[in-house]
Amino acid sequence: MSVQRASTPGPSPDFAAILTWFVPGAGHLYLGKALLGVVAFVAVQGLYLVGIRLSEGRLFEFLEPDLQGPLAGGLSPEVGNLGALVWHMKAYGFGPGIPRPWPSHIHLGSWLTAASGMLNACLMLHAHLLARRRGTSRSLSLRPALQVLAGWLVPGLGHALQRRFTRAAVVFVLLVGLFALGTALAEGSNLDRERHFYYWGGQFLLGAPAMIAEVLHGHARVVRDIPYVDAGLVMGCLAGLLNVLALLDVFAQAEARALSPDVPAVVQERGRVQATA
Amino acid sequence: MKDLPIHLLLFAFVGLVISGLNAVFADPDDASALRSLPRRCLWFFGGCGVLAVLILLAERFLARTW
Repeated sequence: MSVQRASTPGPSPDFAAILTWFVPGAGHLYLGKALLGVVAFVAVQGLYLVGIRLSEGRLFEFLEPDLQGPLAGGLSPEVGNLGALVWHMKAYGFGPGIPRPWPSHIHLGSWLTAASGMLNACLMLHAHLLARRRGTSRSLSLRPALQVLAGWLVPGLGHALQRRFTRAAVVFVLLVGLFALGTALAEGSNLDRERHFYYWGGQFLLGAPAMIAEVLHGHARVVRDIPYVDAGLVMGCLAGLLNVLALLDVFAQAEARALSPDVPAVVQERGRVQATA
Repeated sequence: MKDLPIHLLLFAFVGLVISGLNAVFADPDDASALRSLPRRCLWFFGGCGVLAVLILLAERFLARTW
């Protein structure tokens, strides 16, 4: 069955994605998916607000004074939820500049605000894909966004959900191995957003392995020189950044399947079909 | 350089991961992506080697101290 496309121009995919970037769920409302839009708004902003509550909005006080500029949040994972990040910066900024104790759950709070950015980035992908599917005879499930989210949470899981198991294993072993080696070299000192704000942002992109390592070994006091701390920091951050490539690969596959569901998109599948024929 | 073999080993591992992810990203077929890994590693380490030589030459002939 061929996919039928409408002759009239549909909604703009870019506009839907940008709307979602500023206000989670707004892109889905624009595309006529009101319920999904409301649920997305509540989930993403709820995550951010709980994070703010736990950290008392003091996340950007982690930054050294010379890094506290108007674009300081631009390289943090929270940038995926731009509207909330701008509000956060306006409402709390960099604090009064007076040393005071951190809230007890500030690290959990910072994970939640960062996760809100990642979740909204997945919703942006979904809104973009949804707009491109408008005018076809099929609806679009949340599967492409969930596969990308799974690939963030556990490197390789997105590929596994697409039944690309070899690729999933390669991605998992390489990235988690690189992160583990980096963490060992840095003796766990990399697992602290207060100490390494931007490197932490890179590591965050590795998802659960970084989170579990931080829960188990993070925030330790450094009482002596660590010989390979710089190499460890770079390796941990690089593992997260390389996971973005893996996520793009997951999305490309999900996108190909979503836009032409009748055509097998993976070469292996093509081979299997030919073999069956 | 201090601990040169350790630095080279770490660089080799990082290079392997980068080349591996490059193969995964560039090739949709698992088998051919894995087959292309040695070639990609060769290009990566060759390119880095050329860059290192250029930097050393620039340092040798262009850098000066006041």
